[in-house]
Amino acid sequence: MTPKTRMLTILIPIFIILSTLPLYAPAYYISLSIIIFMYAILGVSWIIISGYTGYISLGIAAFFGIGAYVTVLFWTTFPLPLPILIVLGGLVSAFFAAVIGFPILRIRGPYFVFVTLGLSMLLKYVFEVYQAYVLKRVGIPLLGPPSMEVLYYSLLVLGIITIVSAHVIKNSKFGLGLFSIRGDEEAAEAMGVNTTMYKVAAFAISSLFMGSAGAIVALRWTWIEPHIVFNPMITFQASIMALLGGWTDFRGPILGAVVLVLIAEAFGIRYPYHYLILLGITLILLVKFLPMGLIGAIERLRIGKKQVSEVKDAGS
Amino acid sequence: MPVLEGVGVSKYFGGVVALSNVSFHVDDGEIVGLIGPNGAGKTTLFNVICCFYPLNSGVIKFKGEKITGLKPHQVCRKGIARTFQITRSFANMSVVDNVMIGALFGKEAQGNLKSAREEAMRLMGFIGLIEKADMPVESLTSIDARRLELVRALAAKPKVLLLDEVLAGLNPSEVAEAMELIRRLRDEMGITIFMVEHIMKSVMGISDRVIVLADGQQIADGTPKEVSADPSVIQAYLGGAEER
Repeated sequence: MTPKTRMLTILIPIFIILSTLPLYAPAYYISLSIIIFMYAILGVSWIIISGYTGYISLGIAAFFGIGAYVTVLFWTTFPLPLPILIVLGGLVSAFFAAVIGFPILRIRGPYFVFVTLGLSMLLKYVFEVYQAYVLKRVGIPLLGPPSMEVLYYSLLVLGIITIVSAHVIKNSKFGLGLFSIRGDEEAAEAMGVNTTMYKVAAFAISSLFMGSAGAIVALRWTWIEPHIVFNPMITFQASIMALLGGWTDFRGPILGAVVLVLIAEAFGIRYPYHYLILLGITLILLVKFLPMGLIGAIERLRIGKKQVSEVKDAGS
Repeated sequence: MPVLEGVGVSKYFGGVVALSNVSFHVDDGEIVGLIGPNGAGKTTLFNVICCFYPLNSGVIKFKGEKITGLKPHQVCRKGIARTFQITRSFANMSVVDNVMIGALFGKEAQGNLKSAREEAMRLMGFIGLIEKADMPVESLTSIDARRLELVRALAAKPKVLLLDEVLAGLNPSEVAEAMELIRRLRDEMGITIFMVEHIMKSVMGISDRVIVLADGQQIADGTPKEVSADPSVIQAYLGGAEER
């Protein structure tokens, strides 16, 4: 079996199960799936910037929150159809990423990490001030949200688009250009890669999906406050999930999202603090023992086995 | 006609003068050596040619056209490629992917991965790296890393190739092999070579012309024979630095 057919034999049954799940599964599983989808989308879009270019962005919540606020502002004033809201939330978020990307993507290493983390905090305060002084209310209720099934399918479709995009980018000229930036940015520039444009484009594409996810999930949460949608925990959870699964392609963040959301579901409600400690310990262990994530470890095992058998073949 | 030319090039880092009013030219099809004691400004000159740093004054022209003020990737696309003194391969990528970057983004920026890969493989065959194509770059030996550095630059299809100490760390037979290769790049591919080198015997043996920098100034420009007999060059290399 070629890797492509093997991948399809795994993906097609998963797709069939997921696309029919609301027909027979209890509501609890649909709502759990929505959380998994949300983090999977955030994680996969995160690796487009942070996995491919090596620019570790802790601004996931910023772009997610912008998408969420696009929904909030339109839902309460001028209700647009859901698909338009989703696209609009993504585009506003991508536009913001492109504008802010030009200055901040000049900053490298840990400084970039801090700037992106600060970005979501900054936006949180901006929206708090906006709500306090312009809207004169702390939170905003979203009345009459679409059914959970509609949100489920919206996230499923967005998830598929995000995964396909991440996969196509990885195997394209654009993707190789992004990898060269991660490998050595100055050498990439000397080899003719327009590193500034490439970084900004990757940042904007990743924010497009994060913003679209925010636009959908806002309708699931129904009560919106800045500290909910710009919550840095969204960033930390999504990026730790991606690191746990592996950040080199789309499979990692999905695996990470499934594993950590289920763990959070099992422990998070009963032992919320223990869950946070677990999350921290997971991060430390990951950095120490699984720098390429679960997928990376599995692949290494597979390559190792292949090499061993090749050596055996050569010996016989 | 000079393919690469600098007029009155100066570069300061704060109060430190790295290049002071340097003028040079490299003619089409030449192999030009750039030598000088440590800290003379050789690598800085390469960096300003590639527009890694802006100039404080002066102008650099490629085929008669001003390139000062361009971005490094634009310089590469015009046809100037370089290698780095300390090899800088793209980490976490295979050897062939490294070379493909040059083919995809350099002067003949290929749009399609398949033809870029074929071109990369062809060049790696030329330079003797083809067996390592699918290995991660981290597993290359230092001489193979230098080969990769060179073949990646070649994949960018340069008209002018700037080589920054490609011979450093090679043993005498490897040096001889590399010199032969550099000559073939010029003779068979028509690439003009501008090279910084410390191994005097090699650079004198291969260069049509040698430019000497000392303390950011150009002190000599001539055939290897002329330059090695020049008293100011001998003084720059054999001391006298304290007197200045």
